[in-house]
Amino acid sequence: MPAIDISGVTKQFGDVTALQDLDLTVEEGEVYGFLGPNGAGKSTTIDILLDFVRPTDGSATVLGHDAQEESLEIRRRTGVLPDAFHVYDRLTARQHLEFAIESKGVDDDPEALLERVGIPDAADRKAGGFSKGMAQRLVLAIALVGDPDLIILDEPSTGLDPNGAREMRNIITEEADRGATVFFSSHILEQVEAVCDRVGILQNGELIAEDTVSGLRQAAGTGTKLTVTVNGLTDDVVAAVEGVAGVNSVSRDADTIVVDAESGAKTAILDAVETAGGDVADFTTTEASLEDVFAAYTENGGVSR
Amino acid sequence: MTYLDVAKKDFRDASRSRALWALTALFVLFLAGFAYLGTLFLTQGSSDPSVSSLDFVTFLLGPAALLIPITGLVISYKSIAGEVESGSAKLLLSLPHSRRDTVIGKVLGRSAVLAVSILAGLVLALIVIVALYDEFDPVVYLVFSIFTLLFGLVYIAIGVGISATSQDSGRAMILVTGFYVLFEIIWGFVPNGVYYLLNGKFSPEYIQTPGGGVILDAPGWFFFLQRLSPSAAFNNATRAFTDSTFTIAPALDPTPFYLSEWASVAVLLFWLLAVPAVGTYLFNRADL
Repeated sequence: MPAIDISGVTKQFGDVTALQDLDLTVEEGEVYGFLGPNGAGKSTTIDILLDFVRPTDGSATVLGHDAQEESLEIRRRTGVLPDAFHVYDRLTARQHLEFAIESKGVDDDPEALLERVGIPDAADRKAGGFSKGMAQRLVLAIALVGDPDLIILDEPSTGLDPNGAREMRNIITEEADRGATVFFSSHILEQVEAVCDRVGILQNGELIAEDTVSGLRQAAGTGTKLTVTVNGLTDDVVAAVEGVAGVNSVSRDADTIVVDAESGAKTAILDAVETAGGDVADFTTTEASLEDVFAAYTENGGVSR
Repeated sequence: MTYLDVAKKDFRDASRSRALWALTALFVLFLAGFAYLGTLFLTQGSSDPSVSSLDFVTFLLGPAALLIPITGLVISYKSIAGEVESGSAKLLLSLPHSRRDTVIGKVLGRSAVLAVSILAGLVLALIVIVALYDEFDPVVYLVFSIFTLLFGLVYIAIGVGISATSQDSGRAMILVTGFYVLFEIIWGFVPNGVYYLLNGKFSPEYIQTPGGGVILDAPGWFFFLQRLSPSAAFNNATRAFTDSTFTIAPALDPTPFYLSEWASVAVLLFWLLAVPAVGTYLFNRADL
């Protein structure tokens, strides 16, 4: 039984179509990254899973329950870090957690949860004085209450510094190891890349790609990017590099060439530069980031999945 | 059924607000202050120098019918709309609370806030009355206290119910103001308006009674319409239950059932349930 099963969901807000015939399945125990630019429909999708918003057409089931008819049962077993939430300014971190613990009818220890998200000293401080990052950690702690079967995180790294973002990833991994399904949306790609089993890319309310991170890379045809600074860069050098097997494209900027190639072609490219009379002063390689993959999909109108 | 969790959270949240303490001070000043003023005003120009708790209740009904609706609505109008607007509703509704339980919990939580303030005022007023008044009738005072608390609950329910229909507190404020203006100010003219349509004149006749009093010779529906507003129902129920000589429509004998004190209680209960029911209905259907 899939943890999340969205089938043919369309959502219109007046004239605006937020989601168009969306099909999406997340298996139990999976860490699923839900990527897309702002306004793509990620939060609307999550809002439908939590019954904050009702689909115009189609249906969604979460943990085997209908998202509209059995939302309470879903929310009993789900932990959520929503997007654009606001904490209760006058309640302390501990009181927030007590509310969540009582609401879910479990007996977690607020202190332990705050320890886990890295703000143990904030237990008795009013959340109104929290920074965005602390509030984010507090709500992550709320999402962890009761060891939920499904954890939904909407832009979880918002407001976190790199350190905090890494701790967030560790927690996601720990929860996945425990057996929880994790569904999280992001437009920060390293986040998704580091922890996800599978990634879906949403654009303008449609899922334009869905695969593993490496699968997406291959599908989008972006391999390694090699940046070479050459003393005495000539057109011959560029032509020589273009002739190397595995090179997709070469672009030249002053004394630097940027080569998009299969990952195995690096040595052959450098050899070709030297053979053609160029002197390699410096070179760097960048593995195609998901951002490049993302750009490849969103700018070229998408690759069929 | 998780409304108690919501209510507890809401009360905790609100009870840390300075506004609550300001409100408590207001009610203490209001009730105890009026109890004291009563000793000065109620005996003035009267041949009977004694003041009783019944005098106090009659003296206080008008001001209470003004103060409680306004404070009740102020406390409650943001309860749901404000949470939806700020985004804290996303935390609340991510947890396993139905929207109906959210409305019920908010009504209970905010009512507790108002009740704390009213009770503080009632207790202090009681001390003043026992100390300064010639006659003290605990039953009269108890009935007055119960109806005052019920009236507060009714207006909290109205405010929360209206709040549940709105996604932003600005709209909720406009709607509660509209409710207040319609049912507490304009409503006073509605029976006369209907009377005009039926009889070509605005007001029924006043007639002399053999005892020397003046009573309004109006049909039953006229009084019924007058007493549909929450504060009129509160006023009527409290007076009828505390003062055995009080009758709504002496020209109508016997008093029809729909003008009885129990009818006014029913009107209060109607408002208590109807507005949150409408609010819940719309809240349930809303996209947040």
